[in-house]
Amino acid sequence: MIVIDTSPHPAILPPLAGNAIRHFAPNWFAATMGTGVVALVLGHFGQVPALY
Amino acid sequence: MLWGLNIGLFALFSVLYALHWLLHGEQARRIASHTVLSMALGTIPMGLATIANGFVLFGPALVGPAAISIAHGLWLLDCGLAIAAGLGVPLLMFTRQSHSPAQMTGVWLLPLVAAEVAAVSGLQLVTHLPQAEQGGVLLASLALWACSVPLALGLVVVLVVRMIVHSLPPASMAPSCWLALGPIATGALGMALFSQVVQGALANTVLAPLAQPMAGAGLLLATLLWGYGLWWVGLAGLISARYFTAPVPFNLGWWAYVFPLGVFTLATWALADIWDSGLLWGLGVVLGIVVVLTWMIVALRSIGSVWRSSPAGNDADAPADPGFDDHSSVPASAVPSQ
Repeated sequence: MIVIDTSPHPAILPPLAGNAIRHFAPNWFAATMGTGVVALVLGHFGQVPALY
Repeated sequence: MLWGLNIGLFALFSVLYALHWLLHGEQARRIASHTVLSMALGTIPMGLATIANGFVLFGPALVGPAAISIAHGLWLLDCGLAIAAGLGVPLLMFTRQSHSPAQMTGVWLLPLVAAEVAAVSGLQLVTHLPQAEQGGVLLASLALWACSVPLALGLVVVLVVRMIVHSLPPASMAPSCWLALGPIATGALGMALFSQVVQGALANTVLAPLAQPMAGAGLLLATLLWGYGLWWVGLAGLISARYFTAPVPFNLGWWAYVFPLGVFTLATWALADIWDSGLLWGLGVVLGIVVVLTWMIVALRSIGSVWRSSPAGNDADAPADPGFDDHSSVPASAVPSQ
């Protein structure tokens, strides 16, 4: 299905960033949940700054 | 290092999402009627909660006493976002979305669990605050726990009935079976932390004589929930083994393999401390290794998916990954325009 995108495309944004902004969805925040909890788990293995 | 990287990730995603709203407001508003993407609004406070917890655990050694003030500020923001997700998303489900029992998955839990994740952050923070503030934070954390755990546990039962009556969700939703472990493990961790901090937090208050029995009640609840979580780990493991007999397509929903098991690991260690159990500690180490390895796989595949959808890859105009590719249930108007 093809939908015409009518939202404005500011020319000042490089294509990569423009694409990332256009397609961004909040489910990416799940990556910060997962990465955050892994940092906390690694923190329990020892208070070694390199780990967390 | 990883925690710092996570702060960078959260900041990057916040900027991207703010710009997405600013430049593509129409498209951004459309997720309110999206049956899967709207649930992901709950992941924003939960991502923030892991950062606040890091400021409590690692912050003082890295940035000094200011870390606790930062953690306190982040926690308050987290509470606001968690309450907004916990009330707002169910309302959207009732009024703007069309759901059916066969299409239900553990994704429904995401907006509800945010409040109990905020409760865990509050309970981790509470003993680092001035004595006068501790009682209030403890009360708020219990209320946040209760805004989430009872309803989430009820919804988990509905999920079991759904799997009995309608069989397993499609392979694109395979990781969602782990989401049921989220509220169980977070509920257990919350009660375990509560049992550890309640006596200190209520010392010198009129409730001081009750603090010891409250600690015991918290420990009992934590242990029972943890046992229930152990059953879910077994069930979700068996379900996953069954899914992986055939190819399981990657999508952002794979992050559901990481967070619930990570929280269950933390709950196992918290109970290992309280029960002084080497067995539990060892189990936590095994779970922790599994979580870290799973994180590596999911993180690498996520980076791979970004690469493929970038102009350098071959799929530059791919629509947003809904995380759990549930296209069948998505109204055409909610499909991101290309």
